[in-house]
Amino acid sequence: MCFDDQVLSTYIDGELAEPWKTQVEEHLLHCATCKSRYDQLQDLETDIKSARLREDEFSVQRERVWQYLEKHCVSSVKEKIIEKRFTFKAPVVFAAAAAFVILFAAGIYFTARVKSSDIPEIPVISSDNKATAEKTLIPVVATDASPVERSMRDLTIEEILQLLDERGFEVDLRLKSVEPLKVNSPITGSNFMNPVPGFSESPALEGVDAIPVMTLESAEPVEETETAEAEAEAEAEDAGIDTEADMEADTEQEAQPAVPDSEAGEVEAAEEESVPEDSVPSAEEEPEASASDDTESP
Amino acid sequence: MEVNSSGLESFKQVYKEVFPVIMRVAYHVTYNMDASEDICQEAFIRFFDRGLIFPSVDEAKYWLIRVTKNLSINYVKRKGREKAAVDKIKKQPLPSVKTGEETVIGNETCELVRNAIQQLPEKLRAVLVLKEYSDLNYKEIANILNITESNVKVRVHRAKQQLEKLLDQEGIHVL
Repeated sequence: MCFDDQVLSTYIDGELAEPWKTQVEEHLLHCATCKSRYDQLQDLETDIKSARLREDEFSVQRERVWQYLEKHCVSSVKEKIIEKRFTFKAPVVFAAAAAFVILFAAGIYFTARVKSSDIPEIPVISSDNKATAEKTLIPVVATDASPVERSMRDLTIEEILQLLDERGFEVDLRLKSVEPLKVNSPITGSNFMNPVPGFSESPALEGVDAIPVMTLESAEPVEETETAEAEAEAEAEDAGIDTEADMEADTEQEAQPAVPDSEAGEVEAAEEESVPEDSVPSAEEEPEASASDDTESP
Repeated sequence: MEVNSSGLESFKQVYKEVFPVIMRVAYHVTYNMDASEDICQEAFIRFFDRGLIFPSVDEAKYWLIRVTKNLSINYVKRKGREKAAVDKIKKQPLPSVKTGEETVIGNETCELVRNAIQQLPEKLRAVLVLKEYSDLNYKEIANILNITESNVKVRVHRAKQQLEKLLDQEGIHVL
């Protein structure tokens, strides 16, 4: 009993399991028909192998692709490392933020001071402090003892906002930090909320100190959130690229890593059933069956 | 040795070892040098971008081969569709098989075989290319294509049978 092509082909591929492998070898020694067929298949194998793309045929491409990858992938890793180091230089950002806040605060005080003479309901009377107020940027504060003596510092934020609003300023005040202010005397209580000076128990000066502190502390986190937003955007961009790539992968039926049960595999399996042209049903297993039949007999 | 596809050292190593393999896969499926170059580049970019961890270089190789094979098959399909569309517009018969093929210096047999492989249906072509030009065994091919080993065996054999017929028509075996 002779072997069919399938067995010989498997034998040539070096994939025939042992009990049959020896049988084929022995059979080929004395069967001229099988030997001739074997030689034909071996020739075919040689022909196929001769068409193999040789190393020298793609040496240019090999070099070119590597250069591209080195430029676009490998170097990007180095860039990422540099970027990471860069983000650690955050103090610079905070310094800039602080500077900005100080300028902003100074601006408010400056405009408020210039316009202060126009405010009718707040007469600055204090004889001692008036001179200082004109010389320096910081207006001197009236004491609580004299209810009539009020300067800008005694105004509540509400009042300041109202004044600015009346003058046509568009004020955007944002407080981001929820942390309580580290001030000994509460400015939020009587002094801050209640503009009636007689009501407040603490000296107004402490309250005055507290206001700029509050502005600074509250403004810095705002800067932080901005950088955080930028980072989030960057992440979103990354995510966008990823999803794009994934979509592409979906359409192209790309294989997933490592585990064989991938989309590619499913597609493969689906094709298997749908393409009838080259696979007659039951023909798939037939050669194997005949192979084992044949090999048992000799 | 564990392979991190985004790690510089392992990426270099995998490229060195696997590029020839996937270049052959891409070329013998598409038979177009430029397309093969693009496909290999794309495969390695995806490999790098995914940041995958493989237990061995071989597993990384299988992944790359799988991606390359899919990209190559897609290229062939797209080309086929484009060509069909163009031919439909022109209302002309299909030009000879050699169109789009890279003329590679080599003996006549080599060209004839490459020509014949181009005429194989995609499924047989992929299996044959993996068997003959990627130095993979049935088990590895089965793993890559996610089919059974006996299916690989049958397909390889069927591909060779068809190839033999095509080459006989070309007169290769008339000795």
